[in-house]
Amino acid sequence: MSTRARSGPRLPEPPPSLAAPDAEHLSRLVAAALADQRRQTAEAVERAIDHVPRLLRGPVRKVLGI
Amino acid sequence: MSAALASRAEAAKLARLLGQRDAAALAFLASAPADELRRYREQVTDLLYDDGAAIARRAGEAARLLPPQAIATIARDALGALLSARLGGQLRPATAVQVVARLDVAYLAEVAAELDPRRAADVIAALPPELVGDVAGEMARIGEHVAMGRFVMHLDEAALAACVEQLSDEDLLRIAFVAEGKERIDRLVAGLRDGRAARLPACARRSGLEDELADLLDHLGPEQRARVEAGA
Repeated sequence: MSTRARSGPRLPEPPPSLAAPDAEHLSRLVAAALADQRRQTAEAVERAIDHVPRLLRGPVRKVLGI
Repeated sequence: MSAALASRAEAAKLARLLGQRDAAALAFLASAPADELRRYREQVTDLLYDDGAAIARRAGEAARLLPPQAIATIARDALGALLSARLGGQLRPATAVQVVARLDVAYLAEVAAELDPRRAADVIAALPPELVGDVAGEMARIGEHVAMGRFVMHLDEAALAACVEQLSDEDLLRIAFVAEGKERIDRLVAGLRDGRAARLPACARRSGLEDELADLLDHLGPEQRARVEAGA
């Protein structure tokens, strides 16, 4: 079974006592949660910049690395 | 706790972590030993937090450039609960308290549901107990009992007492079942006043929470167990 997300860190090995289909299902859910978190984070950072006072946007972007 | 109940509790925690509102969707997990599920859940928790750690750290540094009111506005209107929770662990406790004071309880409950209390212990400890209680009441109202279970071992006595005041008997049974730090359950029950402890068995029967009650009793010492069983 692949335990690597499409890009990024290695997914944990599912509990060994699970049947193979259940283990694969669980890994897919973990990968989906990770992808959803990345999507939410990227969207939130973009939205956040719009709320930063204009004078501070440059420094904030620099600190955020975007 | 029986092995089956322990696995059921762990399955519920894993389902919450993965954003599965219906724990029944992961019912197959209940066949695995609780220890396996707990280890796996901890690994997934670390994976999710570590993956977002760099941006959370940079967001924390960026927040130092801003006044608390601006941080609160950005948290509420832009970041959403998930990233606000990650950011919360990066703020200085004094700053976090000022930000929290500018957010409403409903939003704080959403943020708390996404928070890993292990990574924000200093911030939680700095919050007024009454506010912690109000947030707990709101979390119960929106059904975040599993998330609340993570906080039991991280709240001091005053905050825990404030939470108990805001929670129904049914909430207490649900939270105790999935609580991290079961050793505090005895203390929690000791704080129940006005016959609440003795009302728990009737509540369990009425709400179909007999398993949760059995688990609670398993984690009580003789004195508190007798107080609860007085109502059986």
